[in-house]
Amino acid sequence: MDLIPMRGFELGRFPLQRQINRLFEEFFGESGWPTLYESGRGSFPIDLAESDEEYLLTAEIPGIDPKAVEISVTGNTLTLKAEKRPEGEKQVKNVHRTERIYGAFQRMVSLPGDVDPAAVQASSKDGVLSIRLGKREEAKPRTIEVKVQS
Amino acid sequence: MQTKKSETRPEVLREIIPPVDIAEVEAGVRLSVEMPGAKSQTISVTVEDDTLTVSAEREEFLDRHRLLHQESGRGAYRRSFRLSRDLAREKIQAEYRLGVLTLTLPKADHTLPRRIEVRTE
Repeated sequence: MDLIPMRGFELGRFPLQRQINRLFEEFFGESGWPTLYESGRGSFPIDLAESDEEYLLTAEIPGIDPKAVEISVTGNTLTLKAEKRPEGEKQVKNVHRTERIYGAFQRMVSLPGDVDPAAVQASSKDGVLSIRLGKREEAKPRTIEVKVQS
Repeated sequence: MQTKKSETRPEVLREIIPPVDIAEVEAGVRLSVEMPGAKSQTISVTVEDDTLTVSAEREEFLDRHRLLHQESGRGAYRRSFRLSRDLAREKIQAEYRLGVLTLTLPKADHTLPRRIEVRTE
């Protein structure tokens, strides 16, 4: 398994804290993958991976109906919009503790390369949204043969 | 000396402390724990003495991909709570849906209001 540096900066719980953390992270060049824009009270952690053919983006969205998540892709920009509401709120008589974050939020991320909007597939399992974005031909790695003249 | 290894504890050092909401509902107390991507076979809810522990391992979503950026936590979910004696620990109900583990802990019988009949002559 690859060694992945732990970036504690990302772990901010509040929007301002997160924005400041991100500022530091981008300044120190640790992020390498800036978020273009983020709004809303909450956020959701995103992982990004790639293979030769595609990018795989996973977002943790526990408690959100995946059908209600809005996903859009333009060029190399992916936008996710979702809203998290508390479950079974009507039955609540008394709140003891609230650590989960609710509300509408939006996140725009730039992918390292262009994707083909026709080759975007999203699926969801147990609160994790997986989006597979097919790379454009230009973004796929190519093997260039070296001709050796003898 | 050999220490006994708990079965619910996976072979990872790091643990993720999942966020929880605790609310009182008609039926008792409801806990909702955010554990997205938990492997359903590994979700465990245990009660030992006065401690309720929830834990789960996470599903691996990458197959042949290389990780470029990561914000999600590494390791397994684990969190413990202290149980009140006013909750019926043998009647705990658990449900896992959309990455949220919801536990309902009914009130113990001794906390329920009792109606005492008044005998009249």
